[in-house]
Parts: sequence; structure tokens; C-alpha cells
Amino acid sequence: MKSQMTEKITQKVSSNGRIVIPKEWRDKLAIEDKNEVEMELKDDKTILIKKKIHPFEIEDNLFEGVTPFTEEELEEVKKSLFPIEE
Amino acid sequence: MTEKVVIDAQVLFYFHYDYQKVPSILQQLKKKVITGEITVVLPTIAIAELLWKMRKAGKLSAFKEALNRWENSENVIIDEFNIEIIKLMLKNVKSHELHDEIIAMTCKKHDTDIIYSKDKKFKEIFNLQLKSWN
Repeated sequence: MKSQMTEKITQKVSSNGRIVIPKEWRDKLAIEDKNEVEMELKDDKTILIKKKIHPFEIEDNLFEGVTPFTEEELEEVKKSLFPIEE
Repeated sequence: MTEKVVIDAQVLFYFHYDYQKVPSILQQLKKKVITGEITVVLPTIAIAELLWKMRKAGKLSAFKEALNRWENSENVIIDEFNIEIIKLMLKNVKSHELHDEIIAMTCKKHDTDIIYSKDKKFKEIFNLQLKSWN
């Protein structure tokens, strides 16, 4: 089983509860200015911070093995929506 | 200000296709949806067309996952074909292919004249700004 490594830091909380995500961590997660993060307050009094991912960012080639529409398919699907008697 | 555009079934397919094979204009579109510069409108009729294709390819679970992603995405509007579109169609005197007319009137419904598609009819018949690729 692959072991998970946890990196830890300690920071002082500044005014209005601000903390800084270390640059090294931001780079690792590709967190850039104006990106959004999600924060979860857990029952065990820990806070989980995750980079907010837009579903379109998931590059898992969901439609792998299927080819883009051909002209013939587009015609066929249109006829299937609104059949034309010939 | 966020720009609104309508897309057809072909574009919708490319959103979940091997990124390296996606036409650059659609790669840019996808990036702009992620950053919030563009909101895409998905006509339900285009979604139905993609369902037709994916069912034929035996990829229904992939389609269900894609649908789940669209429903949970910011800057993505799933537009239902409804009476508002019929009322917009009433303004067209000439008869058109219903499929194309419904998608073109989806643009009018959302106050945009930009459509991503390869179908030249959207420009030639409905005078929309066609964003196409080779």
C-alpha cells in the first residue's frame, strides 16, 4: 500500500484570520492569484483547504474510444430528432 | 463582463475528448469557461444528439458522468427547449430545419449572436456569428 506523506507548517494568524498558503504548496497545486479554494471545518477541529476544481478541468478523456461526429452522423441524428418522410 | 455563447453537440463532445486532439478554438473556449470569461449555453436538443451518439457507441456511463459535470459546472447553462423558444420561432416567417432553428433561437433567448459550430447555416440563414474550426 502506498504511504501518504503529510507536510506540516505552523503559521501565525494575522488580522481578520488571514493565513498564507506557502508558495511551494501553491506551486505544487497550481494555485494562482484569483483561484478559489474550498474550506471545510471538520468535527475533529481541523480545517481542510482544497483547490476548487472546475469540472471542465478534469482531463480524463471521458469519451475515449469514440470519434467526433461525422457529417453523416449529424445528418442521421437530425433525422432521428425530426423524421422526414421521403 | 462574462460573454455568453451557444454551442452545438459537436463542441459538447470535444469538451470531454482527448485535449491534444481538440481544435485550438475549442481549447480556448474551454479555458475561458473555466476562468469564467465565457458562459456556455447547452441547448437540450444538442445534449440529446450527444446522448444518441454515446448510446450508439455503448458509452452511456461516460455520458452520465459528463451530464453530471455540466450540471455541476459554473459558467454552464443547460437551456431547456420551451415555449419561449417557440415564441421566438413565431417571428420567423420562412420555414427552416427545426433542429437548426431551435438552436439559433436559443441564441436569441440568451441575447447572444455567438455560436460555436461547424454548421454554416447558422451564419447564412440566421445571421449569427459563427465560431468554427477546420
